[in-house]
Amino acid sequence: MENTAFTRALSYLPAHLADEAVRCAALYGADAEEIRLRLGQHLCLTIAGENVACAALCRKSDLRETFLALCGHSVYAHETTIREGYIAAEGGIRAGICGRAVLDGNRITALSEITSVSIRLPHRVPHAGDEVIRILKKSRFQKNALIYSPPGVGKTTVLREVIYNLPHLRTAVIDTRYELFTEEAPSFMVDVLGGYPRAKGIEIALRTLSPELIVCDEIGNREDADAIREGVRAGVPLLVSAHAGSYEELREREPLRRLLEEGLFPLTVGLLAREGNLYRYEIREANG
Amino acid sequence: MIQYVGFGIISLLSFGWGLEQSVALKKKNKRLREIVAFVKHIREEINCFARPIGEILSSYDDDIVSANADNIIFSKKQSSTNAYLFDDAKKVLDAFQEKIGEGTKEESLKLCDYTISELEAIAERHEAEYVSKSRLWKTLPLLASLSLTILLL
Repeated sequence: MENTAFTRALSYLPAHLADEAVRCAALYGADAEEIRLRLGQHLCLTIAGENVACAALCRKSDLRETFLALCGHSVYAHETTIREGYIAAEGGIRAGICGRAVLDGNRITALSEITSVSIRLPHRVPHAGDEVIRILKKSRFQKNALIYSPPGVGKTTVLREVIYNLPHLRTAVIDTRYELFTEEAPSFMVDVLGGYPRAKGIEIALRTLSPELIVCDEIGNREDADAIREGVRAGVPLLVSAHAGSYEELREREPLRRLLEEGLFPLTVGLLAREGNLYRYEIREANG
Repeated sequence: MIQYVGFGIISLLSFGWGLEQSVALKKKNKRLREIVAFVKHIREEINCFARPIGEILSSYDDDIVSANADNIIFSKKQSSTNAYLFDDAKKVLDAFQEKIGEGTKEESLKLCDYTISELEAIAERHEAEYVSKSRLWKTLPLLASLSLTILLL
C-alpha cells in the first residue's frame, strides 16, 4: 500500500473490488500498474508486467460506480475525453473507458453503457530514463529525439523519468492526456501544459515560454507532425514519443515516416521490451 | 388564582408556539429561495466552466452545502439545512442530488433547469400561502387555548 497512486485508484473502486485488489497485490508482494474491470469478468491487475485475475467479478453496477468515481461524479466535466476513450482522473491516473458508442455520423457523441474500465497508474521507475539522458547529453540536448515502443512497454514512464532527471534546461512538457505529471511541476525548470492538444501546446510553448527543450508524448497524426516542423524551424529541440513496435513499423506510419525522411529526428530510441526495471533498447543515431 | 395563572401560562405558550411556527415558515421560504439561487449557481458553473460538482460545492461558502460530503449536496440526514425545507422541495432536491453529474453537460443543464423551475413553482406557491398561514399560526393556537380556558372556567 506504499504506492499512493494504487491507494488512490482503490478509492475509485467499489469496496468489494478494492478489498480484492489489495488482497491480490499483497499475494504478489508488489504494486499494481494497471487495474482492469470488464463487465461480467474477474477483476484483473497487472503486477510487474503480469496479468493477474482476482476472484471478484465485475458487475454492471461496479463499472458504473467506478466510472462515476473516476469522473468525480461529474461526467459533464470529462465529456470530451470520454469521447476520446479515457478519463484523466486525479493524481495522474488515466482510465481507458470502453462501452457502446452513441454516434452522430462518424462522431462519437456519448457512451451509453460502460463495458470495461482500464485504470493505468502512474509509477516511477528509477533510472528508467538514464540511457535516454545519456544519449541526449552526448548531443548536448541539441538533437531532436524520438522514443518509440509498443503500447504498455513504458514510453511514458521513460519520458517521465527523463524529465525528472533533466539538467537545468527550460523545458516545456505538452501533457495532452495528463499522463506525465499530476498537479505539481516536476522541477523548477519545467512548465507543464496539461490537456493541450499537442500542436496547440507546441505553438503556445514556442510563443510564450521560450523553452530550451519541448517534450511531447504520443505523437502520430499530421497535425502533430506539422507542429513539430514548426518547433524545429524555431530552433527548439524536441523529445517526443510514439507508438511503434519497431523502427520499421515507425516508418510505416505516414506522418512519422515523413518526419524521419526529412531528417527531423536524428536520434531514435526504441524500447523493445521491459524486464523488471530494465529496458532493451534499439538506438539509431544519424551522423552530423 | 392559581387556575388563572395556569391558564395564562398555557395561552402564552400556545401563542409562542404559533409564533415559532410562523417564523419557521418564513425561514423555509427564505431557505428555498437560497437553494434556488444555489442551483442556478451550479448551472452557471457547469455551463461556463464545466467544473466538477465537488469543486463547485467546496467553493460555495454557505451552510447550504456545509452538511455535505462525497458530493452530496443536500444531506439526507436531519441537518439544520434540511430542518428548514418544505417536504415537496426535499423530494425535488433528492432527485436532483441523485442525478446531477451523471449525465452529459446538456443533460446536466436540463436537470438544473427542471429543478430550478420546480423549486421556483414551489417557492411561489408557499410564498402566496405564507400570509394566510402565518396569520393562522399566530392566532389559532392562542384562540384555541383561550376557548379551552373559557370552557373550563
